[in-house]
Amino acid sequence: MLVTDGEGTRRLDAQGKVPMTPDVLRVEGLSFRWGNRDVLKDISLSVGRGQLVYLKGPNGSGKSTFLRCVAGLVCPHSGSLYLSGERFKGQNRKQRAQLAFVSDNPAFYDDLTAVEHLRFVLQANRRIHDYAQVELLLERFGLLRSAQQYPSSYSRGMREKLALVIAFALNPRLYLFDEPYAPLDSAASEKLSFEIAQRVAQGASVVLSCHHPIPGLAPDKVLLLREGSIHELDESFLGEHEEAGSTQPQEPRSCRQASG
Amino acid sequence: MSPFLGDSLVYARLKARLARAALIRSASSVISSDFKEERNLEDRLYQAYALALILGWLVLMWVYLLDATNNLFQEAGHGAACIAVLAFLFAPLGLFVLLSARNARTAPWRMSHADIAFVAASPLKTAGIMVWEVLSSVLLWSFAAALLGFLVGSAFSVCVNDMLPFLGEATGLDEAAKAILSASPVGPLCFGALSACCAVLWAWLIGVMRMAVPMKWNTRYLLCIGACLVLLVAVVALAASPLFMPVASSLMLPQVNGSTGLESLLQPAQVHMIGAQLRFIAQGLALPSLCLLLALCILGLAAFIAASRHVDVTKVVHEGSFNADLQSIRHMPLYDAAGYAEIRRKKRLARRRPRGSLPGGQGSKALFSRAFLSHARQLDGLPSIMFWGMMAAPVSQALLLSPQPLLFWMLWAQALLLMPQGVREVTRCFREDMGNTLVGSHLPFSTLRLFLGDCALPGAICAAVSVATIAIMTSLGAVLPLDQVVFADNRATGTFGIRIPELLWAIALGLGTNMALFLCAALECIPLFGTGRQASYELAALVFAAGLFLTALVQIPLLSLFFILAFCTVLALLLKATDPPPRR
Repeated sequence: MLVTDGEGTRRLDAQGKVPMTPDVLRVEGLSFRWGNRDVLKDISLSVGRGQLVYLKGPNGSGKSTFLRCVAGLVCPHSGSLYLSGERFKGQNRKQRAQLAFVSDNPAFYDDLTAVEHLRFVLQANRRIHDYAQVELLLERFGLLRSAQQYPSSYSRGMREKLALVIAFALNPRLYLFDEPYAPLDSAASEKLSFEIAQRVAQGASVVLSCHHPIPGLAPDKVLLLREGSIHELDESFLGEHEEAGSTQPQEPRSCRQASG
Repeated sequence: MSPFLGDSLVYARLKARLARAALIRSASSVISSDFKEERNLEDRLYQAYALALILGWLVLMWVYLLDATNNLFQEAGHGAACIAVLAFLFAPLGLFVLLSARNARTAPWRMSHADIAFVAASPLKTAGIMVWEVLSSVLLWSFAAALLGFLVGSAFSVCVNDMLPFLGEATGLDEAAKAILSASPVGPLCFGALSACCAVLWAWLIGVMRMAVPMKWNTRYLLCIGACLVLLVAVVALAASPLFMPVASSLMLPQVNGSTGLESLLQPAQVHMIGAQLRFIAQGLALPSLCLLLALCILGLAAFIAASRHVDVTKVVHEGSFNADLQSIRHMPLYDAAGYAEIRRKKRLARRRPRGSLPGGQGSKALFSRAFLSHARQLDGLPSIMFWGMMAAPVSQALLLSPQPLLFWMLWAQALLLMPQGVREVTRCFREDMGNTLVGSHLPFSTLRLFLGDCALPGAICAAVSVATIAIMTSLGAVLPLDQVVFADNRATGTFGIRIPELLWAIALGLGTNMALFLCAALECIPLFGTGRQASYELAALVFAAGLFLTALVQIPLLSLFFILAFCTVLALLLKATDPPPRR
């Protein structure tokens, strides 16, 4: 059953709660080092099916690095990743198809237009019949008029939108978004929240990093990354900040170590 | 002083200062000593010593080039020498057509951002500026063409002097023509300088006509008709030029030794053909032709000055914005040629309207479609692919077949390492797919399939060029300087046809070499053994070249083929084993 309230659209079970689902992503003891500096230290967490997780933390705390590790784009120094229960080392393309990672500065082909990017991905995956839905996404994000242009002529916000449309077009189980709201205007932010809420309701999991309050979404989990360690913020802490109109954590006064 | 002359002199001073600064900067970077900052006696002595050394080296190189050209012409025979001179006579037409085509697309006057701010916006007359722009271009091309003319002319005069005494009346050559042919290389030198000057001036005129604001109809018509007429004549003459170069008959022209008359060795038709070629060359280098070229130069300059008064500077700025952007990084190729080429490619592509659309085809065919569209939209990369096809595999054949492979190996290995643009263009789509985290991660293919799909089209073009080059090289072995070492038996037996088994071997080895080098370039995109580090193309190509050199020492084609196949297999397995690109 789908329920849409002020905090977004959610799928609830018969008791009106989010059902218990198997972990889509499990991270065990993940560590990453840049030179001598420990960016990520022994991080463990899990993300269940249909969960929306916010990843917060000050600049330079390692949010992007963490997401890139999870996406299999950089190789962690130690630790294990599991996608839907299977060990993920970033080398299995079938496993990689289960997730979509949108970086904060997405890159595109120089010689394909926006619409050709989408057609290429769909054609390669033999899913060109889904193109009509993708065109709806383009329209929703206001890219349809400029879809025949090269992304190099796009603004930063438009590039982010195109990257999001490509990620949504692939329908993966896990979305990893690195600060997706940063370059978007308020209307586009609301549309993105709506789209994310829909995907979560359909059972997809989303991990997104953010600094600012996000309109129309209620996270299942908020993780704070600070000094290489990750902490899960509890509900009371979340409530305090939501009442104050900000979810940006100032001090992790009441947080507990995130656990698998 | 007229305003035109005054403005010209102001701009000439600016150009001279810029040229001086560029010269000092280049010289400083070459000898690693700053001419502006390092001014004490020791520094000046070192600078003088280094410059003298470089000057001496340049002179030696020039003398070596002259000697090598003389030898090449004599080895190649009179027929090939005639063809070379005929090609030289027609080369200015090619230059004119090329420059005209370029100027018909973009503004001939390439301004930097500083030029736009301080020159284009200044009250200097456009004609005064344009004259110096065209003159600097004329000077550059004419100097290069004069040097080439001297080189070709000196070699040809040495070569033809052997033959002239044996040419009888049947060739139709009079004494005046013989005098011109046997004269010093002043004729080709003057012809080169004047013809290049003429070609550049008229090509610039076409560009200036495009940039001109409306002027009086009579003037415009006159200039348009004149420029179009010259262009038409050039294109027709260029298209007809093969008629003057009957390659087959000239190649059959044997070396003339002893006192035997040439006619006794040849068929009457061949004698007639040789006579026609030599008469044509003599007429091209004669004084009336040079006077005609000079008149065309003067006419072109006058027309250029007339037209340049009407140039719309805003059009020039608009069309030249791409070059102005690149001007700010114009020194980058000295340090990072590949990076500069990549920036240039991206900027150029971004300025163009998307042409065509992604063809259909699902699954693996999507890779072909994307590669096709990518290369169709960037035809600029095609020459480098074709050059690679003409160079990499054919020279490796010379290496494998030569009894003394060291020289060929050194040339080949240097070319592989210093000119990798072609092989990088072949693997460009693969590199982009591997580097694109958003789209590349969602292509449902293994790395090896990605490589094959992305490189199939450019690789096929490259392979086709290689096969054609190898076939031509094999069939024309008697003419090329390679023939002494590679196709010696062909010349001895007097056979010039293609030997099928040799050709098939050469093609198989050539295709294998191309594939091995493509795989070397692909290694740059994958992490090795899960370390996250990538092998450089240069290292892999050097290993391959060294291995091939060792097999060339043994002179067993089967062993070479086996080595190439083994190398390709190892690299393919590496690609297969290392799937996506996790990096540390």
